[in-house]
Amino acid sequence: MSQTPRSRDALLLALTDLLREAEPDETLLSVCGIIGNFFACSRVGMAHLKDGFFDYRVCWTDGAVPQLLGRFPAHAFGVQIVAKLTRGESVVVSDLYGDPLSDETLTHETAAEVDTRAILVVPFLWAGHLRSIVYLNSQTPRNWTDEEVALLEDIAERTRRIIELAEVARQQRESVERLRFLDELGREIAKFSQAREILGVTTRMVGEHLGVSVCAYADVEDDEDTFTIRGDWAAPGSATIVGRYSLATFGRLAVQSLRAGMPLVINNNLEELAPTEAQAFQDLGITATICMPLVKEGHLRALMAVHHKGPHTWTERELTLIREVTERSWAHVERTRTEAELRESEARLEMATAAAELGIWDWDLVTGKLQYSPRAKAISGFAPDSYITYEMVRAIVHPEDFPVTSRETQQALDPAVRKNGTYEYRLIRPDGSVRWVLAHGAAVFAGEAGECRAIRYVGTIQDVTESRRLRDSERAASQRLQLAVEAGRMAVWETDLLNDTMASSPELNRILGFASDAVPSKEEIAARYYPGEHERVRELGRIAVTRKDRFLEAEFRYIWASGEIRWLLLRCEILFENSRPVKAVGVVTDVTERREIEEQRELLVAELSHRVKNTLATVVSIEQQSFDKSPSIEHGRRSFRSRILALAQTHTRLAEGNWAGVCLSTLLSDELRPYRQDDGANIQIAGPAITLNSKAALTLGMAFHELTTNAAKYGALSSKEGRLQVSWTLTATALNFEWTEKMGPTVSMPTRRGFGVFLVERGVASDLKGVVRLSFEPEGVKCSMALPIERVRVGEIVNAA
Amino acid sequence: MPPDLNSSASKPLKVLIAEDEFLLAITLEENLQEHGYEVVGPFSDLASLTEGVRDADFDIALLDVNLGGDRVFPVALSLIERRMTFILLTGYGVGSLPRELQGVPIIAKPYSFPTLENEIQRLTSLKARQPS
Repeated sequence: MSQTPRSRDALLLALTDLLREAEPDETLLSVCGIIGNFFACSRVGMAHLKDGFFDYRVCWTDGAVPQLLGRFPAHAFGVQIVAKLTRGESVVVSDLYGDPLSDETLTHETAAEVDTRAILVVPFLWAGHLRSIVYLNSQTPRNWTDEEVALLEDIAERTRRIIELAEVARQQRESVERLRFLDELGREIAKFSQAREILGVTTRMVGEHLGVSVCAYADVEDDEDTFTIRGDWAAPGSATIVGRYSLATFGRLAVQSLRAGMPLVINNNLEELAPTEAQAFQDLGITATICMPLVKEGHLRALMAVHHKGPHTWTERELTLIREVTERSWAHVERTRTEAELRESEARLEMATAAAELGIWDWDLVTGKLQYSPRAKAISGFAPDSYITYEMVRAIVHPEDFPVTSRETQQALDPAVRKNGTYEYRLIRPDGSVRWVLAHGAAVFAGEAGECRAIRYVGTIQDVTESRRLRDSERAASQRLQLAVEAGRMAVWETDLLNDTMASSPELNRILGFASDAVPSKEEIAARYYPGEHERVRELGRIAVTRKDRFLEAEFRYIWASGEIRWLLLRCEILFENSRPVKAVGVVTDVTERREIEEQRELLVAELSHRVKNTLATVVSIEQQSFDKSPSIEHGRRSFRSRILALAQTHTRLAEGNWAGVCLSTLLSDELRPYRQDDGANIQIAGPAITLNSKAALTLGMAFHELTTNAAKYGALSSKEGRLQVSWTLTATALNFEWTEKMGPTVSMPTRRGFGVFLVERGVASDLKGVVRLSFEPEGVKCSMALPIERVRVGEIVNAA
Repeated sequence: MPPDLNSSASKPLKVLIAEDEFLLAITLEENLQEHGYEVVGPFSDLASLTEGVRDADFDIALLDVNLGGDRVFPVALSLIERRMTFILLTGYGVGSLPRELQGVPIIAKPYSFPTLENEIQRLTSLKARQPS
């Protein structure tokens, strides 16, 4: 530093040179040094007033007294001194002890602390407010001369600009530094979302930045006394102070300041606080403290603090930083906490909607804006990043379902209806696929009764295509089963073997012959078994269970309410649980028709056997009759053969008609064909169509054979002139048949009534219960038969064999 | 002509015939008569047979199982009850008989007359030895 100027002018000149220099703080320090030397005082400095504190920033001393730097309460030298300065008046005190401006305690205490007896303070006002001071201190009492006072006022006036500049530059530098730090802090904490993490980063960065021993944050409970330090940062060599504390133990100052929302600033608790209060800090290894409160809605909620192990005079810079950090960190914590809560509730909603596969839509009816959740977009087939408009939503509704959605929307938005329900409709996605959705919407209304209208329409959509498909296919499968059961004349047979109960169904009722809507009791069902059948089926079931057979099949007779006996086939599976039969499930089918067919077939086989045997027996009889009653073997053989052929002929005709019957005219034509003349004139056959049953065909066939043989031998068919007329009529009860021979050789009464006559007369009478008259008239044989129609016509009697 | 087994008896055996096939009936009737039996019937339906069995006097009945479509079993059962002798003539198998008639004398159609007559003789002599 340049030599001390000796004259007032030299001093001012030196100062002018200095004031040209660039660095304000250094310049000011130089200024202070020059003044100090010039005035030969112990201390020269400058301080800025802020928030009731003087921030002592520039200080020069003669080396005998300590430097005065940092924040001190404005009233540290006494209330009157501050008041005088605030009025813009210089304070000139020759001895702090005993001066009228002095305060007994405050002034003396401070004076002792800073080792000062005399002060000369010149204030700077800014817009009428005390802004900063320049002061001279003397270690010993000193009478400041008017010249000295005037000179300092002059210097103050001259340095005013540089002091302001220095302050602005300092503030700028500090604010840039602070902002840089806050920006860095902001970027760091932005990486975290948990309050604990954010505060952890904050305490570490603040602690490192300010070079403190400990930086901590705490939650304050509802009593505004108990606080818990959840996390802190401690410099190497310092202990963590995490724990639960009572604010009161740290002193009344702490309680009053913090609850009032004022920071607690302690440079040295051993000096500033009562011994017990200081001890509370000292127990934590703390001597200097800034504790910043966070008051919300009039209540102390949280604290953030920085501490030094030893005494530390906190600067405005540090205080501002802590204040800003606290505000910002808490704001961020609050925000992230809110966001976290929101995220959590959103996550819950997302989980719920994801689980239900719900898409959410929100239609602001005032602005017309539509919001679709990602899932709602996915369901609708919209791209994830697409902006949804009403037109898009409208466009994908299936045309057939538009009336549904339109009606539902109208009713939901109508203040008088306020419908809040679910409905299903189809939408056609932009890619053309059709989806079924289940929608639910509710409107939000605003305004008074008369003016009330919907302002928002919110709801969900759910893709139910698969469940509908499943439902439809289940329904279809059930319908198919129902159809199959009905088509197969089947019914489901489900017996609970433990309770011996049976599930009833219309099909089962139909098969068991109950009214379709009946609910027959097990006794009613059991009572209708054909005698013995129930016991038999139960026995089969018992055997199956004993053998652990899975399947049971039983055919049994069952008597319907109508008295009809039906054959039922039961096929079921026996379900075991822990090797105990619990259920029999299967189907029961009505197999009566099949059984009848089987029985009929058995009957037919037996009948065929019977007929063959009877035919053979007949052949034996014909053989006996033909040979025993013939005049010669040769004659007998011829008779036998022709009779057998006639019998065979009738059998052929019966076989052709599947044994259903033979036409009377066919039977006659077959027999008479060999004797018919070329012109056909000798034989006339006339009569209404009638089909004979097999027995009548066989009997009459044989009779016609005998008559024809006789006619050919002795009668009308033995000569060219002979005529045979065969005719018949039908009445309601009878077939009246006439065989008339004419114009043949004269007929004489046979001497012996042969087998033929016997067969015609008695055979027909016996087999067909008819009346036969055979007469041997001279002009020709006549045979008339009156046969009961039910005996001869096919279908009239059940069994013709 | 076979030996007339019936000639030794003071009275000819009365044989009732139930046969609906006329040709078979008359052939059987002729054969029986030729061998010295007295024929009752033949009956060709169940109604007349039932009446005949009730009213007529006979030693043995020859019953065709199928009489005009009706089974002859009721008559057979009534004969068992009355301890009367009979032979069933059938074109069906033995298995087609109802349980109550299993074991009764039966001759399958077609039969030879000697077979039938042997059976008639066996049964009537058996009955003759039994205390009535």
